Amino acid sequence: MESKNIEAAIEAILFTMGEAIELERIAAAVGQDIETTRKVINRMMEQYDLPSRGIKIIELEGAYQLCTKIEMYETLIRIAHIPKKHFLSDVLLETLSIIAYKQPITKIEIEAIRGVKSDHAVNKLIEYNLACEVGRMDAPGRPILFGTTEEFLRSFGIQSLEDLPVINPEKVEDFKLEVEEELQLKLDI
Amino acid sequence: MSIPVKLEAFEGPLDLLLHLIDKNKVNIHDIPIVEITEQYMEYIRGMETKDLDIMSEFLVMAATLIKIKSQMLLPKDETKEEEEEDPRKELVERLLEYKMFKYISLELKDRELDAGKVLYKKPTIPEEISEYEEEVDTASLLQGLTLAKLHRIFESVIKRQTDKIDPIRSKFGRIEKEEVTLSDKIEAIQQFGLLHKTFSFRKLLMAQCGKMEVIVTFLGVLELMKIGQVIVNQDSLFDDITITFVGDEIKDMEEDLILI
Repeated sequence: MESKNIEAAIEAILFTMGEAIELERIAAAVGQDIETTRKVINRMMEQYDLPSRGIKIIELEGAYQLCTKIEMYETLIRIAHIPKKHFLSDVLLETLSIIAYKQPITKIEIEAIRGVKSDHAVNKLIEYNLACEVGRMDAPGRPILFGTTEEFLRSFGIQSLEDLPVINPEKVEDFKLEVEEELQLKLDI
Repeated sequence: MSIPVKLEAFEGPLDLLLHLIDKNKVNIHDIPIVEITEQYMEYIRGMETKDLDIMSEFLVMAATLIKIKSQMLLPKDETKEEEEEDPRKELVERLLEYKMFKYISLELKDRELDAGKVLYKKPTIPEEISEYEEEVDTASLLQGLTLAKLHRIFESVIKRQTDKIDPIRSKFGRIEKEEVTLSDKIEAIQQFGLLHKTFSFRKLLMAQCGKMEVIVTFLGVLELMKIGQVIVNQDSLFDDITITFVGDEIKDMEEDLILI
């Protein structure tokens, strides 16, 4: 297949499937090896980056999906009535970030960090398909281990779990400095 | 000193503690345990919740604070060579970790806001395509299979099935809910008897559906004979049995039956 045709085929696949498709499946469909396919997709992603295009390809844990560009949102809500998105409460965000960074993690471990019962929060996250069971821990009672879903990556625009916002060690230092400074100011008075 | 904040504002004891530390503008690593504990206790006293679960979480933290407080008040053991660990250390670590996740969750919130503006298309593959399955080629699937081989496989499957059955447990069978109770049936016969006085036993049985109902009806008639509410008659052998209802009320048999 000619390289242009491969691009066309990939575009058609991503458009039709409407969900994240693994690189392997795409490669098999267009009859190319994985590396070639990856290169083609990367080239396509660059082309989509042009301001003249309204859609782009995103990567989610080695799978690809088509979506609109953020900049198109204002236009899109004018043509389609997009239902107001319910953003997660602070409690759910807090619980979700613990799951995201510490996965796989049990409910007990989540509760140890938050210092409060977290059944409700965890259940809600599962209901929203942001967290899911990923297995069981080999410990007494075989507690359920939780992790994040592909929907989580999509909802937060994260390519893969390695792409999670880094916990900056400097930030921790900042926390400490902040309070120390405040203390210092107080002493000066 | 009162803290003008409602309980609902705090997600839990760590949250409250962080608030108190921020409010007092102290370093998380150098919590003035005495003051913080006092404020914390005051806050707990003001809590209006009756939810024991929530209350106990806060109380556990209070106990931790008091424990640390008392440890710090105790005179230091000078004879000990190694330096004693600050009793606040563990709590501080927990607080820092908690604070960090609070911070991360804010970062995630920003990302969620942006990601929410990206739209996706639902799959648009027609059903007949997405559900299409290639027809199975039975000829190639059954290649080399002889009747004798099929028979052997069948035998081994059956044997596996019988081996699976636990010879002892399987005899227990299932415990099923009794659909017709004797007392219900007796009451039904009594109702019928009050209306018809005399009726055919055969017809009574014919009106029943199912083996169990027939048996229970039969037992019911016997029971009613015993307490003298019905008299049964049979003219000759194998003839129909006539039941005559001689009672004039419906007797509640439930208690008697339990006693039997």
